[in-house]
Amino acid sequence: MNPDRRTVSHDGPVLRASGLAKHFRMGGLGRSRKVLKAVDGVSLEIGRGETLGLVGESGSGKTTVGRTLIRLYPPTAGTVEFEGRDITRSSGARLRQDVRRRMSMVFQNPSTSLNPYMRLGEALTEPLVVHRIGDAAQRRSRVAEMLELVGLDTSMADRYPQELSGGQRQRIGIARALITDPSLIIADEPTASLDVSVQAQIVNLLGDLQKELGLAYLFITHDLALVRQISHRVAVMYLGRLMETAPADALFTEPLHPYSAVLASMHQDREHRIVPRGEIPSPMSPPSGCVFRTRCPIAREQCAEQVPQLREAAPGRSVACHFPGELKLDTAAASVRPEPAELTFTDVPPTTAPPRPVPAGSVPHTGEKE
Amino acid sequence: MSDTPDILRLDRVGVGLRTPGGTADLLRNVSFSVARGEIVALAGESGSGKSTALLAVLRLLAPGAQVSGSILVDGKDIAPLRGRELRAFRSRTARMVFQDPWRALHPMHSIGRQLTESARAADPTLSKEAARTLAGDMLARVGIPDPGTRLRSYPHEVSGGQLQRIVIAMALVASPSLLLCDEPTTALDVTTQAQILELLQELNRDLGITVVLATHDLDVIADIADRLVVMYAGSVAEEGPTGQVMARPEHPYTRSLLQAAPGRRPGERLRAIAGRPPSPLEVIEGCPFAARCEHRTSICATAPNTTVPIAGEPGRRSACVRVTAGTAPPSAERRSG
Ligand SMILES: Nc1ncnc2c1ncn2[C@@H]1O[C@H](COP(=O)(O)OP(=O)(O)OP(=O)(O)O)[C@@H](O)[C@H]1O
Ligand SMILES: Nc1ncnc2c1ncn2[C@@H]1O[C@H](COP(=O)(O)OP(=O)(O)OP(=O)(O)O)[C@@H](O)[C@H]1O
Ligand code: SF4
Ligand SMILES: [Mg+2]
Ligand SMILES: [Mg+2]
Repeated sequence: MNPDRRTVSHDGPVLRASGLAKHFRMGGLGRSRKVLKAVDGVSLEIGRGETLGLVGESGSGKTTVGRTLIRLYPPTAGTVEFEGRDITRSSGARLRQDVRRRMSMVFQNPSTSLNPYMRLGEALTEPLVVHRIGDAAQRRSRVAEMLELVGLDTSMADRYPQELSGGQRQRIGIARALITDPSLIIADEPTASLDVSVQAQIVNLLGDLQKELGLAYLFITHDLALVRQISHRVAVMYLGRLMETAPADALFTEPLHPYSAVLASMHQDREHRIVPRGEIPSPMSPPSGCVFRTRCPIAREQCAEQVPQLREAAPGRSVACHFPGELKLDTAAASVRPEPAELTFTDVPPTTAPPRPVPAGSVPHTGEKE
Repeated sequence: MSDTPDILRLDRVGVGLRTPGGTADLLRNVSFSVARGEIVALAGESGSGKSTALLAVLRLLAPGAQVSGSILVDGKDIAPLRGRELRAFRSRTARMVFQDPWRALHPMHSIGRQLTESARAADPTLSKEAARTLAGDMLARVGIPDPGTRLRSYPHEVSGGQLQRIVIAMALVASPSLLLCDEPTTALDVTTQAQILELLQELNRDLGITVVLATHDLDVIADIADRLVVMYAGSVAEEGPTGQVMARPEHPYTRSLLQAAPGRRPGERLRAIAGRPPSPLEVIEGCPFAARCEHRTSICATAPNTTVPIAGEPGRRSACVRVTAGTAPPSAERRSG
């Protein structure tokens, strides 16, 4: 996905969440019942046509944020505004009309998110039926259009999910998310089960669709190199809270939060990495004050006593730390992956034409073989 | 015991499996070797045969798998091992660490019991107490705080990162000479991943354990591997010292793989490799990568699917005939190590 930094429009975000919280009640009865604060006080905005990357350790609450934004979970606290409407309490027809039609989700595992007994054509038609969009003929042509858009042959409509490769299945997941014409797609680790070459195809496809249709993405991932590659801005979570939001390049070159610095340092040579001590605490009993303090290399007394609030640190940047910017990267070592050298061939010059390269900017069309 | 420094050598190894759709060739003519004390990474896309190669070394392939060629561990052919010898080989000489630490441990047995059993399987002369002491020492060695308490814990009581350390400790109590790791950090967080890789490197350096690691994560490879073996469609595409291979690949597949990875030019389009690898059911003539290779010429259709040394580049081998043509005759197939 290529974040074309110019196409982002700034007139009103497509989504705005303020003080969003999602708490789960865990086992036990009465007083002994524990509360797991999976998401606690998260505020973020996504602009039209923008990609916001969401990163953080396993269990930090990324998926829960996504599911709460699309209202698969009712929020425990806070508000969500989508396309200018407050959808925090929407339900029934309103929820379907205002939210589910214009915001969709692509799941991590394309194998388990598709019904194995349903032909792909039916799986794609389902959202149109749910939203009562079009008649049978219009739905059929919309399905064909979507398959075309994600670079699949229209004959795929007659196949079952098992008959597809992982990359093809993920394309179906994207087609399904796109079919109701959304303005925001929440992509939860959409390439985690794919290897780099298939990942590159999917990521390029998402980028092309963003340019063509002006889509916004909340892109949830563990993969820091990927998030840097594709995001306009990145939000960093730790133990249910937002640590920092910043433009992608700034986050990786000049992180302000110590946890962001840890993540950004993972891009560097081993000697320059900041590996935090210990392990992530249990979300059932988070540390007092700053949730990161038990692993923070620069924590001190104040960190245990006061919860640092998310504050604007520079235009477009916010950070929740009492000592922002103090833990610095060894910038001399801040590096991107170097380009591998050209190959040198020792044989005679080519005697047959090499395959035609795919023209830049086009969606590679993959039908029978991907 | 052996006349070579190689602790592991695969020589023209093929693995075939009969399936309803025909014979699946999971490995095709795979040769590479690992010197004592090295960390070697097997890299390649999903389905390229990395796990199959590791499983073949431990004789853990699915029943019915047909193995051709030879696999030598410590100079000894492992094909004839049976019964007690095979068990001793698996519990003592070569140990495996899998991707998913939750599957490697018995959920109902305490961690102490599992570590002690592992130690005594490797060395039956060890007393229970001695084995338990060793287990505690190894937990401390892999960085588990308060090992005494942890020995009494059950797998569900510890985090994924700690569990992977425990699985590594379970392999270490056997003091194996060869540690095979299949995607040991894929299921873990970035920060935990860094901790585990540091641990593997430390064990390699301090205890001299040879590590063979299968992974498709290029960052992991760049981090810790001394040498890199790049696999494609059940075959070896190229091998060599990690830094050299990553900076100056000698096979078009390696170069495409490196270029497809994100992180090179933020904000730009990724360079996908068009098409997909051949299935194990396909009969491959010539270079397995030819159908997707932008450098393909007519000689590629008849290329022997094997790596040969690259002239003037000690330690490097490539299967691309366009790279190696004229540098070494493909018949010079004895490995220099
Ligand atoms: N339905 C649920 N009921 C109870 N607890 C939950 C539920 N869903 C998530 N949690 C807990 O909430 C916390 C956040 O989980 P979440 O899945 O959002 O994390 P994540 O950042 O997506 O992690 P990962 O990277 O592993 O996918 C975790 O501690 C998790 O165990
Ligand atoms: N039991 C089996 N029956 C049929 N085919 C199999 C079997 N086990 C593996 N394969 C096939 O063998 C090939 C090699 O698989 P292998 O698991 O070794 O690849 P890998 O490189 O480890 O991939 P990954 O990165 O996904 O773990 C794949 O095409 C796989 O589908
Ligand atoms: S508030 Fe304190 S503990 Fe938290 S990240 Fe900042 S310095 Fe570290
Ligand atoms: Mg998740
Ligand atoms: Mg594998």
